[in-house]
Amino acid sequence: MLTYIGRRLVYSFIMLVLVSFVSFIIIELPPGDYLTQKLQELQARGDRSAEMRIEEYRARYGLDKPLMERYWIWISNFIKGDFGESFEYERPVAELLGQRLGMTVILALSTLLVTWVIAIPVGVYSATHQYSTGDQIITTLSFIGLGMPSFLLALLVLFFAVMVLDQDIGGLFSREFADAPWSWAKVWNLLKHLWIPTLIGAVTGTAGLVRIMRGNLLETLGQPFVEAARARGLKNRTVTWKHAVRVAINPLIVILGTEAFPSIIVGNTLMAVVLNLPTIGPLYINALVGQDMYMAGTILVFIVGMIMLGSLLADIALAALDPRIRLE
Amino acid sequence: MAEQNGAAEKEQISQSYWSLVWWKFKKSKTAVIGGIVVIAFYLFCGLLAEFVAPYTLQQQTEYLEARPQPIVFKNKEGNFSLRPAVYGLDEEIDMATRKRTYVVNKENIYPLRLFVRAEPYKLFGLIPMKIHFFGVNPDNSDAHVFLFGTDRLGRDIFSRIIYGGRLSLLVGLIGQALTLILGLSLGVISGYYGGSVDILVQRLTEFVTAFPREPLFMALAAAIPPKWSPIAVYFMLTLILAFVQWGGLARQVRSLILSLREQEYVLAATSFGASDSRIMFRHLMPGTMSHVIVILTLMIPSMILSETALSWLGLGLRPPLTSWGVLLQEVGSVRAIRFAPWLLIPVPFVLLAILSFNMLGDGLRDALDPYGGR
Repeated sequence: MLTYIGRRLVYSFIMLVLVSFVSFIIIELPPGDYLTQKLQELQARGDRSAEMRIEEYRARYGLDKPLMERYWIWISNFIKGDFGESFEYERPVAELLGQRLGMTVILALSTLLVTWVIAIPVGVYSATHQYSTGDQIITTLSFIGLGMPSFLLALLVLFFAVMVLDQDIGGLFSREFADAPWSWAKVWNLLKHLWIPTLIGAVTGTAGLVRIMRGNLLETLGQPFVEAARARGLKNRTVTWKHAVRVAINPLIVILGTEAFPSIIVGNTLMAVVLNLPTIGPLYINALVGQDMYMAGTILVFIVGMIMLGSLLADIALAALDPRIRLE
Repeated sequence: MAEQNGAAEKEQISQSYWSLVWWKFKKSKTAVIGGIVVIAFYLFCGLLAEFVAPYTLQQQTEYLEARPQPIVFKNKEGNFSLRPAVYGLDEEIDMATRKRTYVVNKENIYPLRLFVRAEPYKLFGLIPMKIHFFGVNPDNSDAHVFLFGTDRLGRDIFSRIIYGGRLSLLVGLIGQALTLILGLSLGVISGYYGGSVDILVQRLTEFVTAFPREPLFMALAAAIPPKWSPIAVYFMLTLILAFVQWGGLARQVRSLILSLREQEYVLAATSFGASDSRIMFRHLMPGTMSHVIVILTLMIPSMILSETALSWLGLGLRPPLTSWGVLLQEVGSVRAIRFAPWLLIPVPFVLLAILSFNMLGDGLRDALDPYGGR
């Protein structure tokens, strides 16, 4: 077990180094860099000393050095916890990410909670009442929900809010609370805004989870040990929840690890853009558009790191929960 | 009842694989509906956009951000008539907001006609034509029909959605063709040869799939130089979408090939002296086709969606190219939604296209395995 984890960690580390390098290259790909844009901007404004100032910046950010050297500087500082400086905000990336991390995590966790609290019971109902009217409605709905992209859904919800309710639902706080210190009123205000992105973000996940849960449980319900439990005269409810669901739910841990865990960092980027949420996703898109490379690179490496960590954790948890699975 | 079933089964036995597939596919209503809608989309948007749309793609009218005209079944006298018509729009300046708005003028009524002569175009890019599927009387220069309103340059949104569908839907097809070539050939080679080739391809797919899809799309799309011509951007974008997608397909094809290559017919082919490439692409590949078709069909919607999302973010296609994502660029703000909500009309079209592809793919998945299941 320990050697397995050790091997996976070494493997993940090698992957991360490769991924960080490729990310760096991808973000480096567009012709010119942030400073060429900035130079044009300053020159357009008629700034005479523009070129000198840009050269200063270039030296400060190390942009005058060759690619490999820059990558080396970035990655060696990265390990020490210094992710470089954002060009656009002229502040350390770590600080900017830290500001938004809290809200991103809150949104991700609430979405996760809603998804699982809805999906598991619905999936169980759907499986235990197979081919009933309720099951057919659930199957149809989950089918539609699965193909429902959250950013288009967010646009539609925004439309509904603006046209019908005459309200702006964007953001996570009302204007008067945005910079206010934390108080109960602010928490209440957050909750009043939070439920909309939470529900929108939960649609696709819930639909997928319902389908998987239904499939898994149907398979489990047909197995001999369920029959045996019934034969012993246990109540239907006990058989379903204590015997079948416990087994059927195990594979879902993989989803928790590989999909839900990374979403803590990025969350639902596109929906966040539509609803103007202060999460990390929109920061990433801005960084890509503005060639703010240390920022974009850092976020990309973090996402990949979370995916690898998540799948490792999922495998370990699965092995711990399910005695049939052995790690080697 | 039982006898009937027995008869049906007997009939089935003598059927070929594909007729069984068709037989099972027809039984699923949702799949058939999905298939019909998909075909309709490709027919009307892909092939016949110029004919279906009453206006051409960039044709600007003097009506800026005009609201959609409702269709009424009335004639000039206000009595019921079978011929649908639209009311004319009159410009009006709202004194409070100092904004131009349009109000319906019930005095002017423009009956809709089929096969009207309007702007010339070339059907399939070859045949010069003037006839549009529907429109208003071309002799009356005041007459106009904007079923979904106009955008801020006065272009008819209905026409633009029809044209926009062409690029959006084509991204799916071209991208899938590329995914198919990459994923299928690498999967077959990896599964057939095994050994070091397999390990190499395996590591490559693992590496590609290690990246999160959405963020990788965005990073790669942002790397497209803004100075490129729109067409180059379009193909680059399709290439990127395909590049990110092929890993999953390659992996599934590989595992199929692993089981297929142990079959007797492969041994027979080998003993007849067939070359490796003949065995791989002539004998093994057809066996994976049914799975590949399903995977590809179910991947198309995510490609269409990715294109829409990227273009909407401003990372993908840009005007003058028109896709559904480009059309949605105009509704980035709450202001746009408040004052011109009809700009959101492309959204239902995207959703419909995605849903029908999913329905088709789901039905195909069941149908292509006609021997198993219910």
